[in-house]
This record gives sequence, structure tokens and C-alpha cells, in this order.
Amino acid sequence: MITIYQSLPALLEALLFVAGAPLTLEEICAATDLAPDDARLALQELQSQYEGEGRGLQLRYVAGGYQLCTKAEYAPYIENLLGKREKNTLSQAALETLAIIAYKQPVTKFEIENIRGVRVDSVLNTLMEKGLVKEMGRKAAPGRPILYGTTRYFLTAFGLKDIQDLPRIDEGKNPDTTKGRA
Amino acid sequence: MSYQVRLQNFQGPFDLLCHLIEKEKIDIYDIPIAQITREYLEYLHSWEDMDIDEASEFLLLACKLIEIKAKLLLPQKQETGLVEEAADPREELVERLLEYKLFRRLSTLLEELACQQEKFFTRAGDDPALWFPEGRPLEAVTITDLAEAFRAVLKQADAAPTLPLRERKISIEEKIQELHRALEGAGARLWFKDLFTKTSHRLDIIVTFLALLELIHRGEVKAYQQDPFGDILILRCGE
Repeated sequence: MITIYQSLPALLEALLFVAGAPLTLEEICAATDLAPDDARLALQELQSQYEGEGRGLQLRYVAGGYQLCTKAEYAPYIENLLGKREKNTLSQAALETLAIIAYKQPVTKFEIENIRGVRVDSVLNTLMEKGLVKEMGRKAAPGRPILYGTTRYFLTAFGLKDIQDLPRIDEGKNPDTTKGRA
Repeated sequence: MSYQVRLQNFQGPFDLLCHLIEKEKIDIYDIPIAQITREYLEYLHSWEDMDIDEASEFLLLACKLIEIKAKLLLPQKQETGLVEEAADPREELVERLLEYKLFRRLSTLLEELACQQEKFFTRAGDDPALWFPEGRPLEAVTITDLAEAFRAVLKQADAAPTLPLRERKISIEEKIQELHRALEGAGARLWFKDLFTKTSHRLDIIVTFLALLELIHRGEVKAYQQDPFGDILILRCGE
């Protein structure tokens, strides 16, 4: 059925436009009967088309999928149109907690509190309500404490390809994920 | 002169301690504990209308600092002939401070990422309502269908028989009278368990127990229980 389409990039553009959210390669292949390699090639072609002059959109790889979004330079005009968008209002406390969860996941509440030196119950609730953090089962330790980790939406909200894409600090002192405080 | 920073502006005790260390340009690996403890406590003292819930975490670190200072003051035990490498009591604190600082920096990196991300606009975001995983539930549904369905629901609601539920009210005073009568009938001595049948309502049992407590309080009965969770023997006083 694919042969009737003149252009694979155009087909994928249509899918991505409708989806809005990032589409994984599997989702794209399932919808098009394309082999992953062919789909990837077509996506690359589409991406380079967008990179050219005269386009307001771009193709980004985010949260394990491909997503159409506007180019950054047009943000001020879009804000004129839609009004200033609601600021991503995460408090300093929420950001610190989110950073600990993102880099040390899966992590228990106790481990987070140990690092921050304060209780994190309400902050944790906020992060869950915003859909940035979720429960990831329980730790095989006394009391079977709940483990927390970040969601796919977290990757989307922060424009990360995947969890390995988190920014690193090059001081040879990155968070050691193997050693959790008991 | 020194400037006042509201304590509530700090994210926690480590945040405050980091602020003091950075302000005094102190080497984090060689913290003058006495000086830093004094400054830390000054901040706590300046805290007006201290909320104990919020303050407890700050106080905990103050205790830790004083404990470290005390350990530093104690003479190290000298093993004869052996030079023991005594662990620096500040070590654990330094480790935790460094870890906290690391995550504080990472959190600013995350904030920058979020700011950049705000420049990219996408279509409709992640609204799952745009997806029809179950086909199109509203296809071929007209406004008349909706009105019809609504009428049917209203009709059903009218036809449903209503059953008035009466609230059970048992007063402790009533139960006390009941207990008196039961004691009378049983010769001033009875078992708590015998006051109930299998079908006794939970509320009955609870109120009876409260009545029993009240009678004990008034000194009218005595109660004995041999084992935890065992049956309770009730005796009328003066018998």
C-alpha cells in the first residue's frame, strides 16, 4: 500500500502532525508497515527538509520518539498569538527533589530526604500530580518502601531523548547510582 | 554590616549550611566547625515565630554540628607505638554536603532545560483525549439519541424504589443501664463476651466497651483480663 505514496517523508509528516505527541519508531512502523530502517531513513529526510530555510517547524527526537514542533526563533510570535504560556512553575524544592529522583531512580522517599535534609512528602505529591514522577514498585528492604522514578512526560517536558540524555557535570563526581544510602 | 536573610528562604538545613560556607569562602574539606556552628545558630536565633515542624530539620543539623565539635575536642586515643589514622568526624557531613550541592547544581541544569523546552511549541501536547483507542464512541450518535438516553435514565431513576436507612443510635448511658441489668441477672459477675451474640453489631460492642470503661471509672465495677485479647471478667464492686 505504501507504493501509492509519492513520498515517504510526506507520509510520516502527516502521521507526526496528527499525533502531536512523540511517536516511537515502533508506532510509526506499525501504522505504515515500513521496515524500521526505511522509516528511519524517511525521518532523516524529513528532518533535513525541515532544517532548510522557509520552514517554521522542525522534527525533534524527544522521550524516545519523534515529534513535530515549532522552531525556537518563532516562540515570541507564538506567544503573541496564544498569550504567554503558563510558566513551568516548579519551586526550588520541587526541582531539587526532581533532580534527585531523575538521577538516582528508582529511589525511595527516605533516600531523597536523606540527601535534601528535609521532608519531601508534599513536594513529591506535587511532582506526581504534574505527572513528572511515578511510583515504580517497592524496594526489597524492610518496610518495602515505595520506589519513585520519572515518567515519559518528564522527558518530554525537559526535551530529553531518554534518561541517559540527562545533563552531566564533568567533575568526575556524578551521582553514583549504584550506591544508595540505606 | 551583616545582611539578614530570612531562614524560610532556604530549602533546608544543608542549603543554609552551603550558603554560610560559600559566603565565608570556606574550604569545604576543612570546615571550621566552631565558627560555622556559631553562624548557623545565629541564623536560627534570628528566626522569628519559629514553626517547630519546619525548624526541627534545621535544629537536627545544629545538633549534628555540635556533636562533631564535641568529637573534635575529645583527645584522640593514642595506641602505643601505633599511629592510628583516626577518621575525621567531619567526613560524613562533608560527604552529605557535597552530595547535596551536586543535586542543587543538577536542579539548576534541569531548570535551564525546562526553559529551553518552553521555546518549542507542539500540537495539542499529550492530550490522550485526542486518541480513540476504542474506535469512535460518538460516531452515528445524534442529539436526539442523547436526549432519548437522558429521558430513559430519568425514568429509571423515578422508578427505583427508595429504602429509608435509619441511623442507629446507641448511647453509652443506655449501655450502662444494660450492663447493670446484666450484672444483676448474672449474680454480679459476668464475662464480657457473654454480652454479645454472633450477630452483634460492631457499634454495640464498641459502645458496650466504652460503657464498661465508664463504670470502671466511676468505681462501680472492676474488670480483669487474664491475657491480651482474652475475655474480660466484670465484677460489681462491693460484692
